[in-house]
Amino acid sequence: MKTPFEILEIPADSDDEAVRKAYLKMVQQAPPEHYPELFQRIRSAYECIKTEKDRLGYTLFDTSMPDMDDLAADILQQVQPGRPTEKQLRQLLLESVTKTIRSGK
Amino acid sequence: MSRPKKKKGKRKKGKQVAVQDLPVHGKKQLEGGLFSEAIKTFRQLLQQGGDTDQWLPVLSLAYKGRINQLLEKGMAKEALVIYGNMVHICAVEDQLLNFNLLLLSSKYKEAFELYLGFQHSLDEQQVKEFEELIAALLLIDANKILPFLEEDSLAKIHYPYAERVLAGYCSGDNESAIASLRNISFRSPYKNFRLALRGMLAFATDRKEALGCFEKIPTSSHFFHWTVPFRQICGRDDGAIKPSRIERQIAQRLTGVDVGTNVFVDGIRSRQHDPDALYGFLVNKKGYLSREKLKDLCLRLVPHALDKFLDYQRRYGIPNELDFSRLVALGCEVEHDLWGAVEAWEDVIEILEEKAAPEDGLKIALLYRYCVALLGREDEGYNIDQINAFLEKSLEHDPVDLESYTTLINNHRGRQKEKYTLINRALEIFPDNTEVLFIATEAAIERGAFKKASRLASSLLAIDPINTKARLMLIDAHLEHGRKLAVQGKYALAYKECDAAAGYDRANLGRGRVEIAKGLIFIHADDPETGMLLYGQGAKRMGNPLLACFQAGLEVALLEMQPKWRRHFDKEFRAVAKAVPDPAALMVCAEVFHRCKGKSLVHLQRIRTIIAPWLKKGSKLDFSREEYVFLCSVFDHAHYYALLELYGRHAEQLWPDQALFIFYRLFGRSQGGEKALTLAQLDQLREGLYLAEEQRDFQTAKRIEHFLYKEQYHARHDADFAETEFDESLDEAGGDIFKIPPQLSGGERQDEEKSQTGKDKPPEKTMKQLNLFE
Repeated sequence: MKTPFEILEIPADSDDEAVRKAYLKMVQQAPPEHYPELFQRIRSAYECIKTEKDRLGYTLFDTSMPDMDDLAADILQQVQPGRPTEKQLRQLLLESVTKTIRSGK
Repeated sequence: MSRPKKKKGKRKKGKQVAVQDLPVHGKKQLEGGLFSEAIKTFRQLLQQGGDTDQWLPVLSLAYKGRINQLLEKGMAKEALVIYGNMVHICAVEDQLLNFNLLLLSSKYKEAFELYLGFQHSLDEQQVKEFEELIAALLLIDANKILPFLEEDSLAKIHYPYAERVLAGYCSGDNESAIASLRNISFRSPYKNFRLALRGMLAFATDRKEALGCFEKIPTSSHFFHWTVPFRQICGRDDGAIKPSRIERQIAQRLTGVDVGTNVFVDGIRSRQHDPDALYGFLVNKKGYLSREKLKDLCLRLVPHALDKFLDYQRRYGIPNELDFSRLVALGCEVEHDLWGAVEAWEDVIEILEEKAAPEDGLKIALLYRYCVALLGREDEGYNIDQINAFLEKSLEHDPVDLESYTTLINNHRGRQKEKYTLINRALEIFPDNTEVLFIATEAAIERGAFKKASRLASSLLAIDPINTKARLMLIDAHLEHGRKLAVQGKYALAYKECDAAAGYDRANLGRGRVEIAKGLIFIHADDPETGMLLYGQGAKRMGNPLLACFQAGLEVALLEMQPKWRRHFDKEFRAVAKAVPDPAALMVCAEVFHRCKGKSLVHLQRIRTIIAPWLKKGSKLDFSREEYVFLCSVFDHAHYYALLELYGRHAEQLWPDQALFIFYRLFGRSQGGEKALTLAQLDQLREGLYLAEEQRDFQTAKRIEHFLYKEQYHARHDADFAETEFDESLDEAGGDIFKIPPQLSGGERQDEEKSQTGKDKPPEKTMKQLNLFE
């Protein structure tokens, strides 16, 4: 799982004010009526590190396993999707035709 | 030294098969898929004079098998030669097979000539399939096919457009692709090509539309294969077919993820729930993450994979003493070793306390509170004193923590002095907190400090005006104070208190209690006329004559009124107690009993006696599970065992799987442990214990356990068990701690003697002396 600091895009040593500002900024970008799930995530992250006690508690006692789906999503976000080449499509067509003929249909 | 030459072994000759054995041998080869050998065998058989009518069809089967074998290996030209041999020897022709072989051998001219020969025998569907095949072949290698196609062939006419669409799509020129796509008609052999390309063009912007187009293409179409990578990305898996290399390559281009990244992403996803494997995978594929990120991930994984702790230290260095203990504590917690975790956290606290850095104060406080939370999570055996000590220490480092105060106050329920000190401390720090004010008001009423209670409750209502619980408490506080003053003969002040209570009695919150209390105070002050008038008003507001009588009876008891008034109200009470009970009135009665909890009322006993038949009748009414739990707990606290048994039994019938009701029934049955239970009842109690443990209802389990142990000892039903447990507890505690005094040993002997003479008496004194049950 992404840490609450990562979700709110703030450094781990941020103070209450910085956390609140980041939270409000994120909520503006992802209002609950349009992005309910994302908002819920932001809200949970904020609740988790809202006060100094919360932040300290999170840093000391968090035992949650890092979420690999998040990490994978992060990695995949950095790549650029493209389109197949003509050669690839013709090769795939040849493969299909050969398969059909071989199967005697 | 030269090595001795190996002797060349003689080449083994193939085993000669007798002519009569050739058919069997050939059939075996045919069945075993040895088509080449089978061809040889049957040809030999025919050469040796075998029956041609019988063996030629079998030989043709062997040829066809061999052709398929070669085709599977991609050896189309060799297959065509074998086909020629088959036709020559067996005189069997398969035009479709020949056509396919010619196409696969790129002998298009011969293929099309052959097609013209058998075209007339094909149905409409087969012709369409053939035309799509030609369209696909054109897109694969147009130069070789175009010369052999007729000028009016649709495949040939639409081919240039299809080429332009393909080029436009692949180069990203969507406009050109869409324009050319419009030139391909719906009847064209490129119909499925058209659908595939439309979907492929829409894929980047609207996957739903893309999938809609792909769904229309039949799976038998050659162009369907183009859609497979797209469908897979959209999560439409086409069965368990493993995608081909080229399909994977296309999918990679579409997602932009190279093979390595794909493997990494798949790897971390598949190991998500196996921390050891995930740790190993991450450190072995470190190229995909920055060192810092990887270190952070590994650090978060270590508590879940403590075996990798050494590896982590080897890679990233040994953590300091504090982090080391922290990781051990987290590891213990993950392993559900809560005691181990608490010990490790205590080590962390020790290190921090030794450092004595002022900025670590909050950290230490949090650590103590976390230990409390961990001990609370432990199912049983946690020490309340240890919890209190941890909380006290946490408050030393961080005094502003409401939860710690409320937990401590709750934990000090039995120790009033400590409790009040804590409440006062909490009030100093949180003077405006409703929770603290509520607890403080409750405590003040408990102590009889009604003025203070009124003041606190007023402050609470000023902050939270709609808090009905506080309002009710405030009414009660004023009434209690009024009664106290009335008993002292200070009637004027008592009336004032009643008026103050009436001031808070809004929305029929007091249900006429204030009027009844005031009326009874008037009667106490020898003004029965006004008193009865007020009582009448109160009874009217209460809406139920029984409840009014019940309240009046209670007031008589609390005001210690003259016997003539006691008799007067008792008479009325007895008369109305014959009525049929209703659930709402019964719940109100139970609440009154609940409020009287802890009060030593001699006269309450009389009221209970009067109302008992009414309450007994009420056990058959319909209550929710929560209401039954409340009613049973009220009767339990009021030591009203007959009713406890009755209500417990009824609730048990409705919820037989609730251990609490089994306990209440049997606890009531035993008159709170005074009366012995039968063996069968003890068994039921044991079953209840298992049930409670199974349901993780540890509070009930603890009560049953305690009761069972006591019951077994007192009743001597299961003396062996009791003695064993008793001995074990002595062993555990250490023999020297519990040295049995000589008089006790004598007492036991006396008990034995008494039991032998039939005068058995439970050895309560003995147990108290040992202090094992308290």
